[in-house]
Amino acid sequence: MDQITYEEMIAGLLKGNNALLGHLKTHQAYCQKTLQIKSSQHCTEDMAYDIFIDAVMAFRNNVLKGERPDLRYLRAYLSKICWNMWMAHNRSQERKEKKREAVQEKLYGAEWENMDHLSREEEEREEVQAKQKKLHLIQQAMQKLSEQCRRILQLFIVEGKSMNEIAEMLQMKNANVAKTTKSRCYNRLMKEIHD
Amino acid sequence: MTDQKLIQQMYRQLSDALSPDEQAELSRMIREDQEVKRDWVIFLAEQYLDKELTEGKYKLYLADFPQLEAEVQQQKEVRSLWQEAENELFKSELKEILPPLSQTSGSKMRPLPLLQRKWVYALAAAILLLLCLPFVFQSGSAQWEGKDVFAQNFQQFDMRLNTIRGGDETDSLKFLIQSQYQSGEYAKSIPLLQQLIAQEPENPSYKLYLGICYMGKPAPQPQDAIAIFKALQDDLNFGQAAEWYLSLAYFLDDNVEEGKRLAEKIGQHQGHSFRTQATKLLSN
Repeated sequence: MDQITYEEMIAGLLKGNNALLGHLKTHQAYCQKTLQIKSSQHCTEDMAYDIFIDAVMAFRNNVLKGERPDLRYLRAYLSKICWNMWMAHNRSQERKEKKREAVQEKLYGAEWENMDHLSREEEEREEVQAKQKKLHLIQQAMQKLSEQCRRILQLFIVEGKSMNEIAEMLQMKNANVAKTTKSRCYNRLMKEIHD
Repeated sequence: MTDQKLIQQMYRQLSDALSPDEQAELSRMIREDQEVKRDWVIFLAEQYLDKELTEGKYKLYLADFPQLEAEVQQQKEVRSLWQEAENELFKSELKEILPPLSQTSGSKMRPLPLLQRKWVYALAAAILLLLCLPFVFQSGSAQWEGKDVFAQNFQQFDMRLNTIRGGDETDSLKFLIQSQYQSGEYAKSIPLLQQLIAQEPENPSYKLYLGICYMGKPAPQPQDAIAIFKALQDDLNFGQAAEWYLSLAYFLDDNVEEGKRLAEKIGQHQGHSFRTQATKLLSN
């Protein structure tokens, strides 16, 4: 980080300036390559990149939640998040595989070993595709909303804030104004999705 | 009627705060205007999910507007996927801010004529190492069993220093260290690595490379290497590598017992990155 200080980065992120995360580029190669080396190259370059991006998102979310990691060791901090994510990914894959095998054995018994496993993969692929389609639809609708609408819905739907809190945070006159604004935004979102 | 005004009317309708005339007007609009009817159904579903509409009232409305049930389901799904959709959007934005290394290396990293490609150096170093290994690390005295074990099992740890084309003095320093290290010129690398560590004392990888260089010819300093690897053993990223090289440093220092004990410990550790190497060492 040669152009801004870490404190400036934190202040910028709190104001929603995500472009500042570009300064983490200096740690990208270190984190990705360390992950690949530590995993004995089981983690591919593409996976390492995806995990690094997730780690940066986690870092930003932690900052927004009020956590203040020791930024003198930011590279080690990001690298640790990457490693934990990689381990979590492996554990989740193992759990999924065990669960699938248990279900299939229960359903088909010993015959399972000889059965064609492709249909399960196809099913999974279809599920993922269907979900991606829905996510894409929601994203398109979100992008058509104003910044204020997105913020109010984020605060209400995800963060579970009350109307009083939202009114205070977004400097609205009172909770009633926040409530009608939220319903108007929500209406627009749903209409975009329907259309 | 504006959107805002219509929504205010709907809220008042739910709380029975409309006058009979206003109520009749709103009912007429809902009945006759498809757009208003759609707004009303969206609104009812929203209020139901926000727990502003009781189960009993919901069922009453459902009788008049059967499409309400599907609307509730869809809104439920949108709410559950909202954060994920938001994250995905942010992820796309982030991928533009931080593109993959392969996309940026062309513009920022060193040019890659054949003689400057990393793999050419790696290959040359590997061949050189294979040819010279017995001579590089073996002492003149054959009875030094620990040194034999070291020579048979030492392999250079892959050096990855991120050098940038046209970068500052540190980048030039890193490039020089990398060239010397990969050519096995460990003694020359030592003062340069010390300089780099003075600049970035928190970087564990530089210390690991320094420890490895201390084990190289012409004047191996295993005690210095041992001190470095011991300090790095608990490092999150390089702890396992430090542990393996510590075992080798003990062998180089003729402390066969300690070297073997450490190699056995690595060999028993299922997830250790150097388990294969340790098992091989112990089997010979």
